[in-house]
Amino acid sequence: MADSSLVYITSLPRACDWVEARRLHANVLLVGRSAQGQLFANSRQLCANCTSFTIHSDFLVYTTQQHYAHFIPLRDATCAQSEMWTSSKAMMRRVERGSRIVVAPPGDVSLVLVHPRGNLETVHPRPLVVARITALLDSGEYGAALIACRKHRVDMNLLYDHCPSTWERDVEIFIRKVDSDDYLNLFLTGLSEEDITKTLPGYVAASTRVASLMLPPDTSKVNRICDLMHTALNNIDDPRYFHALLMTYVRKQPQDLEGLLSTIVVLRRGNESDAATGRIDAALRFVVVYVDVDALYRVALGMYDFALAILVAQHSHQVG
Amino acid sequence: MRHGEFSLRGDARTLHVVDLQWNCDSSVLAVVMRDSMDAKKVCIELWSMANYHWYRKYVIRNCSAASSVRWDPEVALKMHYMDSDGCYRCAEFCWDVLRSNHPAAENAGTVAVIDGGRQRSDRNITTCTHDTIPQDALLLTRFRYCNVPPPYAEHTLKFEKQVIAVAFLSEGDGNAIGVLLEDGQCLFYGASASSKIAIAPTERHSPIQLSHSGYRQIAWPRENVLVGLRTHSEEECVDVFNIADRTHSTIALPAPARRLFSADGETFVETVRGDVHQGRRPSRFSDKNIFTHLTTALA
Repeated sequence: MADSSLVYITSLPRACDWVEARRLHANVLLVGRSAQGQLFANSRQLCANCTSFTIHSDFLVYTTQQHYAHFIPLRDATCAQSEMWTSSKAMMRRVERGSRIVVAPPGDVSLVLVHPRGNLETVHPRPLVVARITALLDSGEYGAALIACRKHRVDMNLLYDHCPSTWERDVEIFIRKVDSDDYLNLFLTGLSEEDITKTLPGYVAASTRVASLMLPPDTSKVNRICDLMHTALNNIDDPRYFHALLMTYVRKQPQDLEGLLSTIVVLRRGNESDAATGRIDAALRFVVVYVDVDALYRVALGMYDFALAILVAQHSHQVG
Repeated sequence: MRHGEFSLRGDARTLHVVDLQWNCDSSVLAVVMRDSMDAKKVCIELWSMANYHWYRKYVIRNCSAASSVRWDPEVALKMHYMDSDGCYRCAEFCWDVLRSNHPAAENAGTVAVIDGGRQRSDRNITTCTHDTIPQDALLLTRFRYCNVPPPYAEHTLKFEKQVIAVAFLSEGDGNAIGVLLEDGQCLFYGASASSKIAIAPTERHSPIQLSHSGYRQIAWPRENVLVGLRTHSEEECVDVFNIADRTHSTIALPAPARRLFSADGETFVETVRGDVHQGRRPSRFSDKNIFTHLTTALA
C-alpha cells in the first residue's frame, strides 16, 4: 500500500497545535501555529502573536492579537520576501477585536471571520479581490473581471495594466466578453495614464509577469487604448456598442471632435427617416455630456455641414 | 437573574451530576455524571457556549467513579482524570475549525461544527422523559454560497452516537466529508458543489467500521484511503484503511503524534516535537516512546 510507512520531511521550529499543508509545485508548504501564537511557514517564523490562520488559494491569511488580518502570497511565505509582505500596509486590514478566521473558500474573494462572542462576519479583503480579478484576466474572462472591478470598486485600469500585451491582442474578445455599451463606457471613462499595478493596494505582480510594452516614451496609454478599441469596435460593427465607439473619440487627448461628428453624420447618410433622426438625437445627447458644446458647434460649422451645426446647437444650452 | 442556562441530555432519573468544573479560561465546562443504575458508568462531558448556544463538544466515557476531573491551572484545555482501570490520564484539547481546505475551484468552503447532545427536533415536551437517546448533530455550512451564523446551519446531519472527528477529502473537489463516530464507525457524505443544497451519503463509499476504538483524529487524503490516529497500549500508531477493499495496515510512530492532517492527497503526521512526517515511501522507524498523550480537536 502506498501509505505503508512514514518518511520524515521537515521539522517545525516548535510543536504546533494547528498545522496545514499545501503543495506548491514540487515543494510542500507547511504552516503551523504554536499554542504561544507563533506562526511558522516551514522553518521561517512569520509572526509571534498569531491568533488564527488559513491557506487560501493565493495567500496565507492570518490574524494577529493587534486585530489585523495579514495576507502573504504563498510563493513568498517561506523566503526572505515574506518580511516585506508582513509589514506591508496594503497587505493587512483591520478586523473586529478578537476576530478569528473561519474559512476563506479557495479562489473566492471572501474571508469569513468569527467574533469572540460567536457571530460571523464576511469581508472581501482587497488582496483577495485583486488576486481574483487578475486570475480572471489571466484566463481571459474579461466580462467577469470588469464586473468584479465594478462591484468591489477596483480601478478599471487594472484590466489593461495587468498584462497590456495580452489585452491588446484580445481587444475584440474583450469587447465581446464585456458585451455591454455601459460597461465599455465605464472602462473608457475610467482610463488614466498611470500604470495602476504600481500603486494598487494588494496587487501582487506575477513572478513571470511580462514587462510593460516597449512603447516610445511619449506614447499616451489612453490614446493607444482608444485607438485599439476604435478599430476593434469598427471591425465588430455592432450598433449596440455605438456609444462606446463615440467614447473612443471623446477620451482621446486631444478630443477628436471632427471624427466624432463624422461618425454621427454617417447615421444620417441616405436615410432621412424618423428612426435615424432619433438615433442622431440620442448620440448628440450622449456626447454633449462629455464635451464642450461650444467647441463641438465650432467644429460642426468648420465641417461645412450646416444641418449638423443646427442639430448640435439645438442640444447646447448656450447657443441658439 | 437566570441567564445562559442549558439542560443536560439524558435520562434525568438515572443520571446524576457529580461535579462541575470550569477550565482556567472559562471557555469549557466539564460536567461529571454518574449513572445511578451502574455506579461504574461515569462520564465527563465537555460543554462550551457561543452565541448563547451550548454545544456538547466531547464526552469521555469510562472514567473512574472515585475521583473527578481537574483542569490544569495554567494550560487552558488540559485536563487530568482517572479512567475506569485506575490509570491517570492527561488529555489536552485544542479548538479547531473543521473546514475543507482543498484548493480546488469547486471547493464549497464547507465548515463543520460538532453540536453534541442536540435534542431531537421532533421531540415533544410532554413525552420527552422517555426519550433518552441523545443525538449528536454535525452542523454544515458551505460558505462559498451562504453565510449561516451558528448555532444555525445550512445543513444538519444527525447521529445516534457521539461524533469524534471529521475529515474532508483532500482530493478532487474537496467537498466530501468523513465522520468518525465513537463506536469506530466512519460514515461518508458528499456535498454537492452546486449552489443547490445537497449533502447526502455518497454512493461511492459505504460506511466502514474501523478495527479499533479510541481514534482521536482522522484524515482522508485520497478517495480510497482513510487514516486514523489512535493510542494503542501506551503507544501511538496510525492506521491506514483502504476504503475499497476494507484492508488496513498499522504504522508505528517514531514519537507521540500531535496532529494528523492531509493535503493534496498526502498524509502528514506532526509529532509533539514538531517533526512532520509524510506518508508515502517505505522506510523503517524503530524507536518507541512510552507516553500517553491525547490531543483531540474540539470543534
